[in-house]
Amino acid sequence: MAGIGFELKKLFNRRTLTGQVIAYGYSAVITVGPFVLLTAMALMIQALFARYGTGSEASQLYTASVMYPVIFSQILTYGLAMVVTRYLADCLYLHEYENISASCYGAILIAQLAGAVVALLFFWNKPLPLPLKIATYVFFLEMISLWLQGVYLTALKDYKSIFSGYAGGTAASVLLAWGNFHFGLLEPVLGAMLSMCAGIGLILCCFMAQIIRHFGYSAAGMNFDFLPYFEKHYKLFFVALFYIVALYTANFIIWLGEWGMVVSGTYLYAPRYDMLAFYAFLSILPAMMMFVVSMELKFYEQYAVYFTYITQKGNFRDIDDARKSLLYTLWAEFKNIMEFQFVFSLMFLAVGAYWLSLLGVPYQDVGIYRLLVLGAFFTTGLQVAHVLLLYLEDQQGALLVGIVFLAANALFGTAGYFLGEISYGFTFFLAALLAAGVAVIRLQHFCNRINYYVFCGRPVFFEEPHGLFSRLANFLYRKR
Amino acid sequence: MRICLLAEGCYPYVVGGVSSWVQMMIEGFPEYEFFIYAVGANASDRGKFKYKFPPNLVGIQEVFLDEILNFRSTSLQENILSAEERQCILDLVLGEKPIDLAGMIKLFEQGRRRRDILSIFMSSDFFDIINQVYKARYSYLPFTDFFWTMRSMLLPLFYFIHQPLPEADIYHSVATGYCGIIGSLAACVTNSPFMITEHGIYSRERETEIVKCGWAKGDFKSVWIQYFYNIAKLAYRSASIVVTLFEQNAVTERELGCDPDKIRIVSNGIHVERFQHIEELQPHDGPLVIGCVCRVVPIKDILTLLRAFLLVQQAVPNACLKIIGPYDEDPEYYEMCRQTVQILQLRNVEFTGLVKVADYLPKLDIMVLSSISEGQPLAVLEGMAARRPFVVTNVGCCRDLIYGTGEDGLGAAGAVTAPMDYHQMAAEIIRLAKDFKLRQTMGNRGYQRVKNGYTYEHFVRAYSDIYRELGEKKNGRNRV
Repeated sequence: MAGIGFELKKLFNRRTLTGQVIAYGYSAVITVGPFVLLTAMALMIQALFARYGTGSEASQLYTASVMYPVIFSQILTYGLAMVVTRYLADCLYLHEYENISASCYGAILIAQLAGAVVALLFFWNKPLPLPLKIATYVFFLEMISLWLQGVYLTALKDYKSIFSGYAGGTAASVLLAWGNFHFGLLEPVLGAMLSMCAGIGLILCCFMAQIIRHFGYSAAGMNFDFLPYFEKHYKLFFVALFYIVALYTANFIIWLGEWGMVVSGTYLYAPRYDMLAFYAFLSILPAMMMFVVSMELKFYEQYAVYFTYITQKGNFRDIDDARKSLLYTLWAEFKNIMEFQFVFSLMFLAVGAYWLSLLGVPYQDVGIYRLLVLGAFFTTGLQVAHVLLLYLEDQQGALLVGIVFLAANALFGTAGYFLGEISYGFTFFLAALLAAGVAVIRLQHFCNRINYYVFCGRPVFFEEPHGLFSRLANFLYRKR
Repeated sequence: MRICLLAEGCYPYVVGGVSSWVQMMIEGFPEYEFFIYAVGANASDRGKFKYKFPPNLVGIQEVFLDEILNFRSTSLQENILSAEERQCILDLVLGEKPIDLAGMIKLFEQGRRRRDILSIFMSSDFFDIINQVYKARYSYLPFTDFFWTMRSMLLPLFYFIHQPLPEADIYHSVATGYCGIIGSLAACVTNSPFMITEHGIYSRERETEIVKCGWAKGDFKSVWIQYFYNIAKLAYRSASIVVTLFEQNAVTERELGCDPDKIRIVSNGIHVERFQHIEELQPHDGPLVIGCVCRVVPIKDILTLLRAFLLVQQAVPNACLKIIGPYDEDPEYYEMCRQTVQILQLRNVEFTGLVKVADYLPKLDIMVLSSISEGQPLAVLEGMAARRPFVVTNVGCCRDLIYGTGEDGLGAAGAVTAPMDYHQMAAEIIRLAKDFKLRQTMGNRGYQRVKNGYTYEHFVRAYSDIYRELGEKKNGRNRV
């Protein structure tokens, strides 16, 4: 969220109801918009499969062909995106714009290279027809680009265009998929994948144009200027990577268990569990949206005051007063969000269970769903504490939390693998509870000693990064 | 017997009074082995010795303050110090009690492995201590600056405690500053006697420098000044003998807390025979030559001399000025002097650079010293041994050298003026310039005065007694 704060603040400063509504709308577009629209795209196309009666095999293949690229592109880019976010935030803070667009290309290129290797290894001995493999790979590489562009989009002001981009792309792919079904042009799954590629491709072009329009494009811009950040902030990379892998670990382990199934000899997944998890996680979208607003506005304001006193010769009384109001705001906002989440979790527990029963889901699965909603509740707490730790520059703490979350999921998940379906849902719930607990305790500990961490956290002397990545960047740009 | 001379910012990197004194000490005691522990500012000076080492100089240990910057910060460590260790650092930072060196040494000796210097700075204990002192004493100062001042103040201290100590029977420091710390440390660790020869009053010199400097601002100046006084106190307390050059310094040392029983006065001595070949002043038809033997550095206040020379040249048009001494130590100041010469349109001003002084002395008619701070300048003693009359500023013990301490009944060997008063300085130079007889008489008186009390033999005998006394003390201790 490198730059969203500025724009949001302006809206809130208008202090009108419409201003506030628009602000939450912006926040929605940036935080949950992509997820909602992409999900809508996939669901609508899936509905087309049902409507044209193509059979469950094709429909399942389609679901898996979308799910795999989405999940693995996210895992592949999450760490990189975090490091690039940090780089972008520094560029914005220093008002250095000349390398921004170039770094977006650079980051995408690096991720594409990694993605190509992953895709090649995955598809090497799979029995899918080549055209479908290629279409799925293109979708995968588009998703990689989209996640990385997302980092830059948060800094843009023109949320209307971003929204239009998403909406246009979604509409285009649904329309194309419908046309394919209607006129029976291509094999349904291949047609649907190509339609999605076209839609996402449209979104990508639209966003790239936005990024270039906003930051300008300098042909001399340095594509890999951000590489040294992998040394200074390598922890960020792992913080993000561990977190995202942990989030999916429970699913991966269940895929391997008795609920797992293989589609077209290629994709292993567990639709029965995945669907429950999907519905349960919808419950945290509102809180995530609200978190961005409260974080960027209320929290950031106090945060800025605190650091201004530290850097601008405040005496200790000033610093400590600012610290107190910072912590007050932090915990008050934390409480607010958790209350908000609590309400939504209750609603999802009640309505969701009813809804799932209507769909004919067995009672046992509804129980798993309930556990997952509770797990999602703690995931919100975990994520809020996690982001706050990162905001406060406690990378060590955030890393610890990430490791705990991942390890707990792996451990409980493995135990669950042997216990069988009776443990499904419970393993994730436990892991989320534990990690959220650790995150909150760490946050509390950090807040109690925040002055110490801020003052002593800086090295005694400035240390120029001098590792492999800096040398690589120096090598690339030594002439400048 | 081995004597370790502790030199700071002088021998063997800088040519000057204290450095010559060190060289003289080593040459004066061929029966003893000497070891030099040299503290310099920049590691780039390593190995760049300006003196030829006598054969009884057995080794040198070079320590540079800027090498502290090569240390890598450790990670944050909470609550690593014991209550005792915390108290030790607290007392150090408060500066009320004498510095507890033994406690500090223990702080770093953690069983077999030594504690990293920076780990203390990164610890929560250190932060808490700084906080405590700040609240008690300095709550009106900007906290961030205070914190960093404390870090930078204690760092060199910790650094020296960390350095290995050379082995010796007597540790002899040339000042009470950082080398005073090392000497105190040696006295504490090795139980060998430690003595100081204080040329100027180190802490006073530091005070003058800090008052004028730009790097410490406002109230931080007093924090720093206090710190250097505390270090001086530590050195006075640890030393068995404190030698100074003249009575006025002894008075100041007593005021600063040095035990009067420890203080001895040993004047500098010079090899009078080296100047034996120089005749008394002879009348000549050439231009009047004024000479100043000094390094071209701000403390010598060459600018005042140049201003005075402007007035002299108006009265005595053919007068020449020779500034005899190296000018590479402070190139900026040298440049400023050159510009002053141009601006004032002075004629016949020569900066000779580093030359053999004895060759120049016979050519001089009047000698000047315009310093704003001195101890007992060798340059004046040598000039007097060469039977030259002097105009000096009233600093250090210059007054005693020119007017005598009242017992020798010789009369004035020149004139004394207030520091920076170029009118008076010019007036005195002109008075001497116009009266050959006076010049000659004064020159001869100077020679006599040096011969009576400031000879090399005198000096060596005095130190020989002191070394013997300390050596016996050491043996006595060993027997116990």
